[in-house]
Amino acid sequence: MNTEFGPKIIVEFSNGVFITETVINTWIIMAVLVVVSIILTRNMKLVPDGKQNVAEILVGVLTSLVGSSMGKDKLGFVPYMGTLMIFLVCANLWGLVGFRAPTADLNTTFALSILTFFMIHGNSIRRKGVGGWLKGTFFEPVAVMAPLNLISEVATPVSLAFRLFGNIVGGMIIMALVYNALGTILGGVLPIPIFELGIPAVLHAYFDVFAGVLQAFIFTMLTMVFVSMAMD
Amino acid sequence: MEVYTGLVSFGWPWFFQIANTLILVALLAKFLFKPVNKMLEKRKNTIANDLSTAENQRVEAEALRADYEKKIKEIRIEADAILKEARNKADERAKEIIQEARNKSDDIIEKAQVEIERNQRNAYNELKDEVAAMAIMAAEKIIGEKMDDELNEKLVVKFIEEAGDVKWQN
Repeated sequence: MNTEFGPKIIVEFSNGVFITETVINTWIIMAVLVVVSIILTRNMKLVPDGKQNVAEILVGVLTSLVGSSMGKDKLGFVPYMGTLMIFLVCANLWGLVGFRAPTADLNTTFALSILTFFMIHGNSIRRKGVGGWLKGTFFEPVAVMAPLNLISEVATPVSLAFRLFGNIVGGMIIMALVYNALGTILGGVLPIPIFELGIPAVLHAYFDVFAGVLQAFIFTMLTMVFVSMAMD
Repeated sequence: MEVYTGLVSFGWPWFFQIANTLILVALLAKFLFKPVNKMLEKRKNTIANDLSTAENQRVEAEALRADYEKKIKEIRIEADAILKEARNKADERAKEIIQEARNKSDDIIEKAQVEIERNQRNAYNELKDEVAAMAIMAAEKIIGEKMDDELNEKLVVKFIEEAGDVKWQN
């Protein structure tokens, strides 16, 4: 059994920069998403046909989600939040097709949560000015709360990142253990891995599909709510 | 040999993943959100345009209809007036024609009467002359000799005239 659950290093350059399978898988997902987007939005017509309907429904659902959770005045966030949602759903489900999910890596989830962190405070400053941001973020409801507020603000990206990472990587590890256990039930007597055929599907449905989609939704929703709250 | 990083470890991939996320956002914004939103906007505008055009055309059609209805009404009134005038004219003309005919017939009757009168007078005069001549001839026969022509004729004519004044008038 492979006891290494960390992402595999694919390339390591001489100057110490290395690329893991997380990054490679992310590139693959990115390429797929961009190609699918281009195909879906090619030859768009005023009267939509099949694939154009898919694109319009997708964008429509994401737009109404952003509109209802952030407010109609913040529809400019649709491309970021929509992309985040699409990417996270694809990344979390990536484990289903046999690859390592990019979100089963703290580097990915922390990259996303740091972006959320900067969006929260950047937009707060942009909307309220530095004074308003300081006051609204740290000195509410009273100035004494500032240290706690600081911890709270720092905790936001950490909790976001670890929640997503923990869910996905937990599922991944459990699935690896289950596959291993099922493979050793008969001690490798049977040449055909018969137990690994149907039983893991139920667990995949829970850990990858259910938890994956749910965590993608939670991450995106929390990002939207935090950014929107910081701005209002 | 396969090299793994730790399960909970930070490294270069963090920077890669930040860059990847931003790049993906930019790409999807360009290839998915922008074209779809553009199309939705275009469709919205087209529908709004079509609706307002239809509304304008409806209003226009309504105005045209009202205009035509008014015109038709005017035309009907005018036609009625023309018909009435024509009828009046025809009536007048008919009356005129009848009047003319009546006048003409009156003239004809009058002329005929004058003619008749003249003929009567002529006939009377002729008859008178003849009767006078016959009376003279008869008187000559009765008397047996020739009367003094001139004197007797005057006498007879006078007699006849006196008698005729009573007798021949009717």
